Amino acid sequence: MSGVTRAAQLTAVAIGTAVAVMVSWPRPAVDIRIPPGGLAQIHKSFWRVTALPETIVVASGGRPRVRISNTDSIAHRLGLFSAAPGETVEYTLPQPGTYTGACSAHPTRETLTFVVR
Amino acid sequence: MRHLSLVRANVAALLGLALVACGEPNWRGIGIEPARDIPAFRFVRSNGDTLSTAPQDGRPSLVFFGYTHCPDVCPVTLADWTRAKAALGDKANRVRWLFVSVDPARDTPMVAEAYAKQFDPAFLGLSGDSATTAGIQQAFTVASYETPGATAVDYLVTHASQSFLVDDTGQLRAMYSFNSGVDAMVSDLQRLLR
Repeated sequence: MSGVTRAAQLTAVAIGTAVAVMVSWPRPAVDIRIPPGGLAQIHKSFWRVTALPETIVVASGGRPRVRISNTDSIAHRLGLFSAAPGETVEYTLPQPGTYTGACSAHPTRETLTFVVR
Repeated sequence: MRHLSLVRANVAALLGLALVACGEPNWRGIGIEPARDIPAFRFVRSNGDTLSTAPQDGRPSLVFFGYTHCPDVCPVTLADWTRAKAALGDKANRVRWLFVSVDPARDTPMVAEAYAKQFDPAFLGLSGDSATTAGIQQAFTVASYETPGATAVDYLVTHASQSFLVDDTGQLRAMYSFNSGVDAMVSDLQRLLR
């Protein structure tokens, strides 16, 4: 019986640790992925995926990071940021502000703006 | 008792993970992680000499892509660079200040050099052939394109507006958006110049 209890305790500790790591592991504030074809998507928590909007608002708590994963065959520029083919890169935004530039991975092929508040 | 040890081990592991996660450098500019390897490019100067952008020990580089007919972003950025250079004092002599033309058709090496030197004699104006220009833009993943003007030679060039910080090993570390002041740039350069 005590063996079963100990196993249950160990399992609980392992699960608790896994959950704590999963929750506390630093994530980018914005996770942009560019699949082959070049139309970027934003990946959010709980596997939600949305199309790239024209403006992305980022909360400035801490030092927010924008991660861009480009699996397309060409380089892409998203506002001020860019990613070479096959590159995953993170940009750390140090201060509130508005960062605008041309966007090559957007359905409208126009501009993309990041607003850090 | 063993249970308690296991919990302690888990807590230690979590603290270790947290330390690893917090270990990345905090640039005052926009940090780029992982740092991007920038290959060396060679530019022919107006006197016929060749200038290589290959890394030099103890000498970080600040790189900007622009053109001499630029009505707004380029002069403002190079004026910011003069302020940054003044703030760095003697240490500024170890920085390579590279203004790279994205308009080689109009900016000959002589024109690019003269333009950059208007702002400070230490600023290096570079203009390469079209292959070199395309190659260095690709390395920094920046683009430029012409916007037609009133005449064939009166066009504007849309180009990236940020300044890039490359360390003395040739790694692109950070960048600074247009008109964001010089404090972050100066702080990050001072860090690399220690």
